[in-house]
Amino acid sequence: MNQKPGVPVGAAHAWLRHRFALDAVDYPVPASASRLDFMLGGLTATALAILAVSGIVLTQFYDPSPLGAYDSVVYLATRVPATGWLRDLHVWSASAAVVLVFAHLAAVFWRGGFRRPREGLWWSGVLLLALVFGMAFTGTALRADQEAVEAVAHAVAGAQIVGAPGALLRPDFTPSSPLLTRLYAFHVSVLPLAMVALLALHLWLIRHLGVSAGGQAHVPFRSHVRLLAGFGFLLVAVVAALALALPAGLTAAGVDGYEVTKPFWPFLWVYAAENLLGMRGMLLAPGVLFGFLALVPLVDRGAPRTATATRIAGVTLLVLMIAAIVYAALAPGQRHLGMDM
Amino acid sequence: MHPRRSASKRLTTLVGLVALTVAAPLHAHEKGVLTPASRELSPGDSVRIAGARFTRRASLTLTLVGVHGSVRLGQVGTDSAGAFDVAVFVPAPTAPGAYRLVATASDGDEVAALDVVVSPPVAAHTQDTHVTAPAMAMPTGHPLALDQARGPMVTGAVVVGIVLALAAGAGLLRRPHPPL
Repeated sequence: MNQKPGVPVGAAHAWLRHRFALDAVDYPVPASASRLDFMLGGLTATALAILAVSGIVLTQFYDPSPLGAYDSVVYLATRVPATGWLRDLHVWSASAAVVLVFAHLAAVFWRGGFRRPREGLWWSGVLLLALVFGMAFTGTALRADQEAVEAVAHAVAGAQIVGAPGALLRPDFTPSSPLLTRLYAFHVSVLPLAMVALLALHLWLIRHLGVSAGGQAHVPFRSHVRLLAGFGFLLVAVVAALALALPAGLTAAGVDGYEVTKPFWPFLWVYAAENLLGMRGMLLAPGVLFGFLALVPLVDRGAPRTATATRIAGVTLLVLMIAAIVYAALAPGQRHLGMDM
Repeated sequence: MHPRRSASKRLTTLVGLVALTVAAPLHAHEKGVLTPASRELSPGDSVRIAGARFTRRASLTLTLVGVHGSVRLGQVGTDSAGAFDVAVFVPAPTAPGAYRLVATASDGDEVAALDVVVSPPVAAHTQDTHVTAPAMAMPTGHPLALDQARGPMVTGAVVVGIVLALAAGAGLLRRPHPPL
């Protein structure tokens, strides 16, 4: 039997390699693909996996009815020995996923990984980013605390502005199921299923179009996976330590008609846009971001002048987003819905 | 005895024992059905609860079980048909929220359960039909100081997990690239 050096010899290993076609992951990739900036997508997937596992446990303790939701969150955070930490891990992993997906997007953007033939790869990534935001929003709403109630009130106001496309976010969509329960369904089934489908497409395209790293392909992909697993374990350790040291917050039970909180930090740039432009800012800011990301592959086809202009526009947008997050975090709270403060 | 026949006999005995162990508690009490007049209970008010298909002439305890704790509603006796129909009082201090209405037998076995909701107390109505926010503390954006139930066992297990994850990560990152 022709064994490759470095591969453990053993019947079980050979059986696994043969039955599960593990040799298929031995295709060559450039050595530069083992750099950290090429691991960011895989690390985002790792954060999503932590979210999935911790989320499955949390659903066993969560009550998605409007009357029981907040109490069940307080219960799982304070009365069950391990679920309090798991909730903290869930929240910190969500933050990690947002940071990593943006870092991944920025890295791919910087090296022009959206250009032909990778447009589909880019667009599937942009849709995945939108789904990450969707998960962050629905996850916030499930807490049913004051921050959640205000987040939902903003979303409902936005849904009313957009009309028919926002029908699902309207409390009067159906009298048979409360909005919170429907948001729960989105958080645990609709959005994760869409995410898995898009992730499968994303990985399929990476496999067939190749990574956007330059250089001769001579490093086996399993080596890339091993390094990714190494960074993945470090990520697990970091979010677990953060969850232990800095527990996730929970405000008092939500009361409708008040605006006294700011949103979960990934939405602070939208909050800043609302401060400046009113409720239209809530739709305009994400519209500009996702519009730019969707159009980039169509506008920039690699011509030097266009490439430079696209880079400047992308960097400006990222700097503006970060500045808006810092501004919104530091600025005093503002009313956007005309509610009491 | 033939070894295969002996093994088969042992297996049959084991299956029989497992079946008996599983089946015995199932037949300890008849599982009944609870039917409250309403599944939305009001604190400080009474509610009629009917029960059927329980063990005949048995004593059952009705309890509300929720994240706020348990609230004992009372004890009822089933008739010769295994049924009952009583009015129980929901204590006024019962916290609003989702509960399970549980019927337990005298030995503590749960014999029926049903999801119910205890609704918040209704605000005092005035002549003015426009009722403003109920009397409660003004909401704030400040996080609560949650008293976590995390004990030293959980903290220790997490710390061990973190150390193992760090070691595994460092170990994987330090291994050289295998050749293609």
